[in-house]
Amino acid sequence: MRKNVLWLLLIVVAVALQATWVEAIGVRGVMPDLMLLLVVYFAVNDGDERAMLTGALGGVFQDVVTDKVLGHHVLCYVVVAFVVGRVGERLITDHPAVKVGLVFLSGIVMGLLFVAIGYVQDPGSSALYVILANVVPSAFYTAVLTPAVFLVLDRSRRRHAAMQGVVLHD
Amino acid sequence: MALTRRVVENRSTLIFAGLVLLSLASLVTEPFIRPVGAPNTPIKRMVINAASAVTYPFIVAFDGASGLVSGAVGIVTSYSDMEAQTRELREELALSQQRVALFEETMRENDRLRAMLAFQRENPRLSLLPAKVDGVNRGVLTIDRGSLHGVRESMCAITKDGVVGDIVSVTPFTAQVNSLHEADFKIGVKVKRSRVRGVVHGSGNRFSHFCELQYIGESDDVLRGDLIVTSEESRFPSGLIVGRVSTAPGSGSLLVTAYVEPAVNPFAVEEVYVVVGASAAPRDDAPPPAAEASGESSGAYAMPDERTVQEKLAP
Repeated sequence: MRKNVLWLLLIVVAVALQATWVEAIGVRGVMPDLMLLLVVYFAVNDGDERAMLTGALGGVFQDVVTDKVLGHHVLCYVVVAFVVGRVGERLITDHPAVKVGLVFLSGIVMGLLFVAIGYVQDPGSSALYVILANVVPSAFYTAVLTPAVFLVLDRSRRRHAAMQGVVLHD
Repeated sequence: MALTRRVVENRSTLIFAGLVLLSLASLVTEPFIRPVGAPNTPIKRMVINAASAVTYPFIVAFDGASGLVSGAVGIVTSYSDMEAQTRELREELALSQQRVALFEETMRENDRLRAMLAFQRENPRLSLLPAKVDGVNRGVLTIDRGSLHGVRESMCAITKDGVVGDIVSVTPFTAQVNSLHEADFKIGVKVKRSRVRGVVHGSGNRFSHFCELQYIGESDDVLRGDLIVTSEESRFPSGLIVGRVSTAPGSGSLLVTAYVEPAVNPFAVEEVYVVVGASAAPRDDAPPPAAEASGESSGAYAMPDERTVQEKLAP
């Protein structure tokens, strides 16, 4: 129960940070995606179910905050969570480079899906420009933050587990 | 039972499928179920309300924290901005002070030049050539007028306050003036009050600017504070102020010396007049009018003794 409350809190904090502070660290309009980091983290550590639920909830919040149609972010995060969760079962994900690579590829896939859905809704939009100017740089920026964010989340989990008297196996 | 087991085994796939279907349903049906003119569907409005209720406190907290951080950073950046601004203002202030000093100097120069002009108008008998003092070295002034401007040796240099000195050397564009500080300088003078005649010698001393009033008799009427002016015998136009007696003459010998403080400080002079010409001034000790000559008693006083000291004492 407590673990689920903390998980919910983590999602809400990530959404709030994405809506406020992340804009301050953006470079020429390119910002990292904290929700994606969270989805990939849970996919690697807890499996695809937790990741998909994280993506669904986070996606709903993101759709509300960015005033997109409900389901736009949800679909993208859920697909990424499922794929990364399945791939993560077959990969040795201990090495930081693997995690960074997973986040980068997830960012690309997420961005492509997002642009595709947007293109279906509005065929007049310039999808290629958005992919080159926003999706790829954003995926790169998010991948750069991976080691720091994952370290913080890992330490939080260990502390919580220590408080619970649970030994975590890496 | 088998169904339950299969559901449990494929739970994640079922969750994935369910979420994807829900998302696609929302995306596809949204344009159709949204009321005309409304920005959101009823379901989205409910979700917005719920999401806002959950995230609003966090967003407010993070906004407040980022405001504090911005304020703290602003203090640092504004400090450096203020430092830069202070530096600029200091430079502007220094420039303004220079301009004010220049303005004040110009005003002072204007006042001096007006005074010189007034002096020129008050002395129409003197032909005066204004000159600027370029430098002073041991009591010798260098002025910016020379032979091309009509300056000649032995001409005298004066100001409205009195005698400065005489021209000792001339070049085409400059000239040098021996002042009352120079040992070589001599000028025939008289005491304005008692008409006692004498010669003022330059002090020739860097530390004392007092000049000597020589060739006055022990019994001559010279008192401390008496005004000393140029006499008719000197090469200077008569009546020009030389200085004031600062120390009365001593006693005990035939010829005594008094000390005169010059009226003009050559080290503080910036502009002078060179007397290029002068008409004869009326002698203020001239003989009485014609009635006197006809022998009528006018009750006038006896003629003053106009002889020099040497003439008086000559055998």
